[in-house]
Formats: sequence, structure tokens, C-alpha cells
Amino acid sequence: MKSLQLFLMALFLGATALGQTQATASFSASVTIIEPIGITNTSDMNFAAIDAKGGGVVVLTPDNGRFASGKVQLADGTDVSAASFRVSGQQGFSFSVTLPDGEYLLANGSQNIILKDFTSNLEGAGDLTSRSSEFRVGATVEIQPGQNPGTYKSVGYLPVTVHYN
Amino acid sequence: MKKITFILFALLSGTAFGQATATESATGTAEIVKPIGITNTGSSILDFGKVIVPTGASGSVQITAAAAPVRNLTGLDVIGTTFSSAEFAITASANNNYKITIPETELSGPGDPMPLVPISNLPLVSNKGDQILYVGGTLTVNDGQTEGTYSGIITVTVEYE
Repeated sequence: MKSLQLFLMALFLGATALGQTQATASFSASVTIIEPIGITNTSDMNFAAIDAKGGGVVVLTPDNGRFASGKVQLADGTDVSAASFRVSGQQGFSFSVTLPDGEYLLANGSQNIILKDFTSNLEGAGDLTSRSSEFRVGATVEIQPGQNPGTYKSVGYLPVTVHYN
Repeated sequence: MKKITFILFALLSGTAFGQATATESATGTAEIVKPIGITNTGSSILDFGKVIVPTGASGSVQITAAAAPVRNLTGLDVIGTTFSSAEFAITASANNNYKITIPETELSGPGDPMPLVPISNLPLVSNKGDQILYVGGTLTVNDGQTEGTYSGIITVTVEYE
């Protein structure tokens, strides 16, 4: 009887001791994978026809509005267009846009027009409420007095960059 | 419950002593070793944060094993600054070797599984008693990985040798 009791105790102790030589704990690991952000130019910027006259400044707004100041006069505005872009990326995320900085040239032979002061219709960040979003970009041109008639085009590309916030 | 166990142990030791009066040197080598244990203390999540899909080749994101972990990126980019290593408290007697096992695993989600190799701030075998264990890791993100949330559970084992 005594030996049986001892044996039972020993068994109990053995099991406890074995359990105490090892312990475990768990953790979870996680990551959220996000679709890369992309941008496509869907419409180029076009100031349409302008009569230089005494020169001045023409502002093209992101919503296709044109405003002249100085002696320059607006002519046929049929083709007026702000630049537009489509952004693709992860739904539910916001992004910001970096517009061209400083002054760029529109050229026609040896004649140039200065293009500057880029603006977008995004106030601060854009939101990818669906998988794609659009925004528009306007700018300002400086027309010299008696600027030669002709079609002026940008020299090289105007960089517009989007990135996730 | 632990206290009761301890009393039983003491009782049995006494009994053994009583039964071994002829071999007097037996008690000289007795050593009480506290049970080994591990519990989650700080963050219980190894969080790699928000990772942008690499294109053209796979990339990796690494979280170091430290109280203030660092996130290192290879061939990919991230959004935001939220990430964390997991933190545990190990309780063990000093001067007794114990082994720390953290298995490699995969994070699963909407796309292909991504291999995760854990990183520890402690060596595989330690004898330093109570310690804080931090677990970071290196996650490989496949080229064109499907977007979404991926997760996995990793069990850390500490064992006296």
C-alpha cells in the first residue's frame, strides 16, 4: 500500500517536472501588401489660340478655364484643355502629386514662351476611393509683345509624379 | 497552483532524504531550478507594415529584433511608419542552459505564401536566466505578389537542456 502511494507521488512529480522544463508562447506575424501606384497621362495641356498683341499672361485653370491679363487677348478656345492624369493604385489609400517646378519653355523654332506656375485640382492629397482616380493640371504662360504666330510646344517632358501618403 | 506543486516537491525530497540516510552525500548535489517560462509582454505581433508590391523581381523587408526595431528594405518600398517586433519575457534559472526555438514559417493570404525567417536578439542556447526576447524577421515578398493582408502564427519554445 505504501509503495503504491509513493509510486503515485513519483509519477505526479515526474509529470510536473517534465512540463516545467519547456514552455511555449505564440505570436502572430502580419503584412499588408499594397498595389504599386501608377499614373497615366490622359490629356495634354493646350492653351488653344492666343493673340499676342501687346503681350501678357494667360492662366489655364485645372477645370479648363482661361484668363488673360495684360494686353494679350484670348482667341478661339475650342481646343482648350488642362492636362489630365489617371492614377491607379490601392483602393482606400491617398496619394499626393508633385507638379513640375519652376519655368519650362514652349518652343516654336527659335521663339520661346515661358510656361510656369503649375496647379492641380487636388487640394492637398488625392484619394483612391476606387482603384483609380483622376486629376487635372493647369499652368500659366507668359506671352511677349508681338510674339511670332505659330504653334509652340513644350521642349521635353513635364514631369508629374504621384506617391502614396 | 505553482505553490502547491512546490510543496509537494519539497515533501518528496524530504522523504527521499529520509530513505537515504546511509548515503549522506546525496543531498549535497540537490539543486532547485525554477520552472522555465515564456510570456508575451510587449507587442505580440511581428508587423511588417504596408509593403508595396515589388515589380520585376522579388524583394524583402526585415524587422530587427530589438526594443526599438528598425525596418530594412531590399528591392521594395513601403507606406507609413508602422511596424513592430514581438516581445517576450523568459523566466529561467541562471546558469542553466536553455534552448530557444523559433521556427521558420510562411505568411498566408490571398496570394502565394511568403517565406518568413525569424530573427532573435538572443543566441540559440543561453544560460542567462530571466531575459527579454525580441523576435523580428525577414519576409520575402514575391514579384507581383497579390495585394491583401497576410498573416501567420509562430510558436516560440524555450527548453532546459
